[in-house]
Amino acid sequence: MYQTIAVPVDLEHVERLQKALRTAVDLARHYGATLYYVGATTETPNPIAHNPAEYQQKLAAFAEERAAEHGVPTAAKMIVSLDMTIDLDKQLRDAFEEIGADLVVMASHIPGVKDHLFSSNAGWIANYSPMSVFIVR
Amino acid sequence: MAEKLLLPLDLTQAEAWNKVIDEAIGMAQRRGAELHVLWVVPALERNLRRLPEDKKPELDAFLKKRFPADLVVKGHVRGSMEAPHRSIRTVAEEIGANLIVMGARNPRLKEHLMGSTASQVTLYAKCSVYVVR
Repeated sequence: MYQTIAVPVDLEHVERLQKALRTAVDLARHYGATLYYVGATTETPNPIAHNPAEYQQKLAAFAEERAAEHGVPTAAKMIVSLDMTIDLDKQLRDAFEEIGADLVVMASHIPGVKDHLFSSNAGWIANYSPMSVFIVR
Repeated sequence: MAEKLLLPLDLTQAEAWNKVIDEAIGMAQRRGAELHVLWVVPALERNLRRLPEDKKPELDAFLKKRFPADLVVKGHVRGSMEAPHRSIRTVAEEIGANLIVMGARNPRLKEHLMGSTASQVTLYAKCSVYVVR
């Protein structure tokens, strides 16, 4: 049913994404789909990489590592953002469209007071994207 | 303990949810999970003698017809005066669901302003939510 599964990843907090990553691998295996790890970085140096080129390398290495570990075809897609807090939702949506994702598997934080006023990344995507969405908590 | 999947459905439009139902069945089978099907209905109808519980036989008949016999499937009918997404979350917490599998309609004007039931559930549910389109 699915060919391309997008998995947004935060390379800084991979350990917190384990459940979402496992779920994505299970689904990819079941449907014989390709896993696209989508990572966002800034133009300016950040804790993961000094520049987007270095980030691209790290993201590609992450994708390859996971392909070797689970035997599922993977790919990497980088988003370069000037201000993640403002742009990320829309840039993620554009990236999903560009890679032709038909399912997005993403982790969500536990909803707090803030989300009752402003929506979280995950909720926004669930509301406005045309593809299936699996929010892992 | 076996995992529990919650599948909220509107039986008045059951044919619109075939893809979601198939996906939920597949997922429950692969995980060896129990499947709980929830139908949220209005608590009060124009005919006050008809209670929400009266719809249980209809749901049970549908479950028997539509779902494979080897799967543990349980039906819940919930009469509700509030928005369906609240009842879905309440039932998910009551039964201790690990995952909610649900469909979503394409957003129309109302959903753009208020959010769809699926988006409200994804925002506030405590467990994982799988929205099938």
